[in-house]
Amino acid sequence: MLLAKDQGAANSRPRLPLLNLTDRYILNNVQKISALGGTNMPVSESYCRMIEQIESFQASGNDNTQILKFVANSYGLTHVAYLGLQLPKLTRDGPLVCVTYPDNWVAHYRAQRYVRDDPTVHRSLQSILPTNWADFPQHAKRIRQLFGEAREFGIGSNGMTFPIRGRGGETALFSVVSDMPASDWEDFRRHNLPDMQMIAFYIHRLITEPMEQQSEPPKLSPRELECLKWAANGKTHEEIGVILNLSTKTVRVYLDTARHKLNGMNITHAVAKAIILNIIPAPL
Amino acid sequence: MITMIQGYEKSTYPREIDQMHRIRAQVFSERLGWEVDVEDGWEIDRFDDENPLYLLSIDPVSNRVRGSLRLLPTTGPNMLRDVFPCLLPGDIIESATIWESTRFSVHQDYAAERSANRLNATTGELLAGIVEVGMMAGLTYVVSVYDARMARVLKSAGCAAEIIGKPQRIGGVMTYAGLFEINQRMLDSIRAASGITQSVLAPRPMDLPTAA
Repeated sequence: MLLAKDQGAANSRPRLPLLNLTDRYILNNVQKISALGGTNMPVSESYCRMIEQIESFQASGNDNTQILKFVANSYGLTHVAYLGLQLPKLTRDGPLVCVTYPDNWVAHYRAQRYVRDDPTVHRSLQSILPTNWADFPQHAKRIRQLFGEAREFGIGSNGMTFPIRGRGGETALFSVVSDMPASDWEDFRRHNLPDMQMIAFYIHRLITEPMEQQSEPPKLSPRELECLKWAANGKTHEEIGVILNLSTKTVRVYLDTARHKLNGMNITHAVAKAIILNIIPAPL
Repeated sequence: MITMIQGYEKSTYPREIDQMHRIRAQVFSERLGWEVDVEDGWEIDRFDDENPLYLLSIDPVSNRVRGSLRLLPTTGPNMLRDVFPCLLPGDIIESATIWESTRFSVHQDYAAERSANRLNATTGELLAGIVEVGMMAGLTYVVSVYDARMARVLKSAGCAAEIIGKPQRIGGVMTYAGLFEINQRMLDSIRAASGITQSVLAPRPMDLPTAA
């Protein structure tokens, strides 16, 4: 397997590096690196593990559908679905579809032109609130038919759709579907909402970024760079705050936005990526 | 009670949407003197075209709108990124679990209703509404741009903010960007300050039972 650095150099369109051995080492030892493994990480461990797995999956040549299948399996879901609804230049022929649904269901959905009536599509275009499928009004015959047939095709009985908004106002959606008993589904929703929101946006970037004409290394602000540099040198959030005359909470936010821009699963991962991309110098 | 209005529900609530834009014109243009566009009595801008989520405080007796605010995801177009980048020099807040709250406004007629600690009742209800909706959507923070006057209001509402970036004088008033945690602790704090004891969200009309 090529190291991320080599890949970046070989590719005329530089992409975010894949997770390499250094990242994995740091991740595995995250508890030992107390300065970086703070307890206030805004994302859960399961989300971190998920992104790590997605990246290694991607590195071994798996396509987006296989990645989605992996996400579904990991969370005990029957299916997950990504639909790019309004993406520049990409959706003239209807939505960009990347789903784990069986082919016969996708073909049936297309043949029935369900995209016109699908409430997950309509809501996602005009709403930002995640919707539990049970809350969709079922009095319209076509909607009842759509969900009824979805069950017949084994898609799953419970579902939830997360609308996605992109930087330029692009619209997409991410749906998760399950066959869990209703009470387990309620628990799942309660505990995994932030994870699902972040995975939805991660998948959106994963699918749309390679299609964008120019993908550049992320631009980090001076403050984010300073915080990252000190984090790379083993300083705690508190120590960075003292050095830069910022509150601990503000340091945490800068590190989190830096992590986000670098598509890092946690601060350690973001630091490793920033070093690989030559955004910050390697620590002494 | 707080009524949520999503983009596709605007046509269901024409009276409420009309009142909201008129209150915004009265508050931001007439009372605060902000440089906002007012057309036919409505204060409305391009972010209203981005299908935001509106929270409206409705008077349960008269059914009049008492106040409102507007929520937008920070992953898409938002005011902090597109209008007030000077508050965060070189920085962008962009996260699937952070939304932005803007156009927080209370109708003049309801400005005098205070809780025991002098917090405006509509303000307390709207703030509790943000946290409840934020928890429903799986958010970690809400980010907002606000002035010194609002900073005092937020403080008395038990709404602790983390100021980010560099406060600036905009149109003669000190303007801040702040992050507000979305969690039960924040909700409890706002409830305690505003004397609210239960959910402020109006029950949403459910159609038919969905079990197959």
